[in-house]
Amino acid sequence: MVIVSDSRFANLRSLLIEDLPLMRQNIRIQLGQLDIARVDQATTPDDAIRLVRSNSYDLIVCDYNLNKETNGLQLLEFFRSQNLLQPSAMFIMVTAENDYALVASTAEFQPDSYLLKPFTATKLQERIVRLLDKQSTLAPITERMQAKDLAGALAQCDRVLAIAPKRVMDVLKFKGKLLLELGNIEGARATYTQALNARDDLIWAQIGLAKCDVAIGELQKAKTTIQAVLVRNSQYIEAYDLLTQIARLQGNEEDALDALNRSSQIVPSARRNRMVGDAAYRIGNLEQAKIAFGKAVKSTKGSLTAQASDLLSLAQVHVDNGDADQALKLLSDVPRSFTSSSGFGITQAALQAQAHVQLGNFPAAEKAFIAAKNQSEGARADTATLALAKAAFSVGMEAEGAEILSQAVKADHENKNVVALARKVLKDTGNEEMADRIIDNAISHGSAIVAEAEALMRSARPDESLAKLEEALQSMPENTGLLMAASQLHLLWMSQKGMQRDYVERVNNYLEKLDTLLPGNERVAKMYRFLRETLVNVAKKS
Amino acid sequence: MDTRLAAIIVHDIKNALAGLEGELRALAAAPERERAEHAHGACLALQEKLVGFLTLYKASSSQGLKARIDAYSPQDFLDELVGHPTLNRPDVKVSIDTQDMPAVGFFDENLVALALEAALQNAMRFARSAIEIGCRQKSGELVFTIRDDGPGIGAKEETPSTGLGMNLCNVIAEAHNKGEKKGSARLTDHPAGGALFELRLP
Repeated sequence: MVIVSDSRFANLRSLLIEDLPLMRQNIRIQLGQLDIARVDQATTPDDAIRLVRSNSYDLIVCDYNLNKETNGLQLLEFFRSQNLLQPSAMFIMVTAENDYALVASTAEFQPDSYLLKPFTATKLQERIVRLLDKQSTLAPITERMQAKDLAGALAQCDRVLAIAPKRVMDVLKFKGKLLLELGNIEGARATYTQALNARDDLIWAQIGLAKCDVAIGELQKAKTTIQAVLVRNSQYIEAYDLLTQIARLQGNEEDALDALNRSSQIVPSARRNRMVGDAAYRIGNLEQAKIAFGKAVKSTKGSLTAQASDLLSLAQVHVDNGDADQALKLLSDVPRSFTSSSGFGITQAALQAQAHVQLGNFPAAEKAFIAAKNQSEGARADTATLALAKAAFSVGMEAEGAEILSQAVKADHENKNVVALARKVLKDTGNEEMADRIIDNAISHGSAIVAEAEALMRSARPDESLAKLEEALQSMPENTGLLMAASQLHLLWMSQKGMQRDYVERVNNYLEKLDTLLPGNERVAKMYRFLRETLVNVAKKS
Repeated sequence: MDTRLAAIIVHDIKNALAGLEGELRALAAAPERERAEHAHGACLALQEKLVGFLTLYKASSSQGLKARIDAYSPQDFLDELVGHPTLNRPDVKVSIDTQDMPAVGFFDENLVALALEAALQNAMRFARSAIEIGCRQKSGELVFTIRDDGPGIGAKEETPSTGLGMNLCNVIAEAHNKGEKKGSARLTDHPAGGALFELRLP
């Protein structure tokens, strides 16, 4: 067999994930025949996770059937949802004909390609060449998207379309998404309609139209479209996620939970169960929360995909349920890897304090609370801080609890999830009447700072305005509302007074933080756009 | 799946394996590159047949066969298909007819590859010197064609076909549905001679 090697192959860093030695050796040889110099090998999902964490790969060839606990798709889901793969990494899933149809039609995180076993080196080569070609054709779009230059990416869509008509569907998918993010709803609608004209049963385009309706507030119409999609394809996970989003926009948490529940029945992954658990817990449905977090804990037990937060959430549900013994048992037997994850020690001790109170063991409760408090490095808008506040209330230290809760809300006063959970803490501990004083005050504290800074900017005291926000951010560095306002006002400052290098750097820092705190957020995307426009305008003026 | 069909297919695979065993025995006695390549090709063809058999079995199970339809370039797809080394007939020229080929087609690349590989194997048995593969859009359907320059479909063979290939093509065609419409596969005589295989997908 003659294999003409592709010069692009030599530099590919590849990882082969396969449990069967014979198969692994076979594919290893095939990758070698393609002159791919670096082929790392993993025999278990945990091996693969370790390798992916410490290396960066261009190509991953992964068998679907790995072991009882984790299959190839769950592994891919873990990599993608934890952002462990480079955006340009190619993931090829190898399946037997037996699994292929079922696996491919229900996957939430799709690999770049499926390859049926057994395959020849030539076939593998052709597949990789096709993926590399696709990647380089679409690179002008994807690279700009990664640089947050959405308008630039959009402009590239038409250019790519002109030179590569065979990529029309990939490009239309990007184009619709970009137009939606840029707020050009009618443009997005026209794009999805164009795709549907080529083939009227394209689910992603139908869902795209529903997203357009959501964007203009036509929620009922969007719902009708999604229901129609689900009648024909009940397995399409994104449809359930959009239903969840619509239910939340309508303030209907019950419906949101229902949609999440249905999605987790189709893809019973730890991540899906976690989402169900969180939604159920928020509305006080402890029974469902217990089942969902229980599944998440059980399905990842002993694996590197296990997340400390699942165990803590389950323990909190046990405490709320009055099962203090079960909570303590769960908290006493934790994998060592969890103890290094952020906020784990605080939450663990805070939950132990809550459980001991329930059992009437007050000295132990107090001891645990102090242990939790000593580990805390200041209040943050996170579950650890909320658990600490709840523990304070439980051990009868109301003033302390109120202070911690207030700090948690202040730390990110626009964070709806934290605000809702903070209210829940007060309700669960019988302190509902404090909500106005603690939570509403904390929210107004943040909005007052923003309002004041805006007023200063308007009254021609721009330097004081920026100083005000910078100072507030010192004590509340992860406050998304403040970060957003600081970005905006710095950009306004520059559009009035001209370019200022260190301000550009500051805004970039704010936006980078926002991007981590609020991934995929529309307002953050808009702010990136504002930054770009401001820089262009300021450059023109000077 | 029809148990009679299953028995015929297994029998066929057993015979192919016996042929391969003979070649390997000869190779063990006297290594020879050409024979080794032939044995390798026979081995790949056997694998393909087994995958086809299991896919057919899957289609008749309760889960059925489901196509994962996406947009692909038929040109790229066919290039990958003919690059496949199971076609053990160096004397037959396989070409791709690019005329009227759409830039994009909607199908399941892995399932359609299984169907076309089986049809191609079949055409290889009858072709005299040439096989032409094409893809075009016809009255709302995507039609893959394989035409050989053999004697046509009435031809007698020393070892008659098991019917695995056409059965497989049919279930794969049917797994491609769109609304009420389903795909179909057929083998006919081409008016200008030779056999014409068509896989039509809605």
